[in-house]
Amino acid sequence: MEEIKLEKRRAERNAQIRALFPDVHGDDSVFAGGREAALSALARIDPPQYDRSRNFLDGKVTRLSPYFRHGMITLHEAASLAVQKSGARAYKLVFEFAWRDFWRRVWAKRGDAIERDLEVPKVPVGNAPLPDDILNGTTRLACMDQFVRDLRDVGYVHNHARMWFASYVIHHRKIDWKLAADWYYGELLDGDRASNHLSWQWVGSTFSSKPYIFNRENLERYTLGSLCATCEMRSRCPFDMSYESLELKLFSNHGVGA
Amino acid sequence: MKVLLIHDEMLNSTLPVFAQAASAPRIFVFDPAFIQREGWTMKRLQFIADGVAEIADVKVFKGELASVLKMIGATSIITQATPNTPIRDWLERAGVPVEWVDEPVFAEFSGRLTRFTPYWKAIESQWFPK
Ligand SMILES: Cc1cc2nc3c(=O)[nH]c(=O)nc-3n(C[C@H](O)[C@H](O)[C@H](O)COP(=O)(O)OP(=O)(O)OC[C@H]3O[C@@H](n4cnc5c(N)ncnc54)[C@H](O)[C@@H]3O)c2cc1C
Repeated sequence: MEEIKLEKRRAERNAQIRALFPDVHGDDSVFAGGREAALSALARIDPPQYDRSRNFLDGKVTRLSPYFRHGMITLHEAASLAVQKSGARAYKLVFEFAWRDFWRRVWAKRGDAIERDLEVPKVPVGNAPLPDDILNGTTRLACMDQFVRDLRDVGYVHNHARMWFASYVIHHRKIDWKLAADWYYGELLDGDRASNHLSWQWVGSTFSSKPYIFNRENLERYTLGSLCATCEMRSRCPFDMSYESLELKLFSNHGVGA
Repeated sequence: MKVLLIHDEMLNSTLPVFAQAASAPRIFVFDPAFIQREGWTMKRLQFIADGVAEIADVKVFKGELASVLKMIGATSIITQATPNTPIRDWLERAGVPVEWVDEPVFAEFSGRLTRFTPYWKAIESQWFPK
């Protein structure tokens, strides 16, 4: 056991933390933590633009989640500022803040039960182990591999990308959502058991009335085609079909993972 | 001696618990066993350290929580309440009484928690009065 005098400058502190925890993996953080960094990120929010663009990977999302997760700012102060800045046009942003509060309340009520199926799944799901191509981002699907790189290199992934990725893992690959969620939790800077594990359950349908699935048209639209353009699997894309065909492929009793 | 135990969800000295525990010495503990259970990466530890470094007058330790408390002579803990079960278990197993101070609320809600939409409908007017 030792007392630590944290270095004042960030670069030196990063090296200090690395030396203190030689067994902990991963690159240095590109996100600066702390109240000051949180307040500057908060000052940059643009609620009306958020409303229009949040589903796009290059949209004006806030990237506030790591700060909320560590209490560096509170949902209440962020929502107050959003409403003060944009009035009724802050509706969508405050609505999204409320998701975090909702998941947290479910955690308070259900405790560790959130780490197991909260409801019966509404479609067949699997319990396959987490394979290396998912962990390493080597599926050869440009989209999914990029989402794993975001996760591992930055520790931040856009909400839409998290949804697509979780849907691919659970419904196409039939992987046990809990194994995936535990791994994902550790890699995220904003890793939070409520928002993470309950979102995985929402995608899987053990805490929602239906599973979340997407097709190529949807992904291409919100990524502006940037990932599909370079994908070596673009002519064999497992998402390139109508929602009806996807449901048949993924959820018919004879359905086999892609 | 009662200490303000700063956990990883309260890295901000403007939170009410800091005022409530104004006279208590502040500590933050990097407990390797806790970190391993959480599966955190280097980025996460550095991000957390950024937050701790900005808080005034905090003593930072690396070690097992119970031993740190014993070494500094802490006989009770005051901290921010949380539904975070790993944090709760970690503190409650450290062998000293824990006083939990409420975290700031986003909205008042006392209804039945079912799905998000009914929850949002119940609290919406607190942010957007009709
Ligand atoms: C599979 C999966 C795992 C997730 N894991 C986490 C997690 O571990 N920690 C975490 O904080 N969020 C998690 N989310 C929710 C959401 O993806 C992130 O909060 C969001 O992407 C963070 O980026 P942002 O701050 O730029 O979000 P913005 O779009 O700018 O939203 C602003 C804030 O609203 C809240 N918010 C927005 N959408 C959601 C949502 N769906 N659920 C909960 N809160 C939301 C967040 O606090 C976020 O910071 C997960 C979602 C999915 C689908």
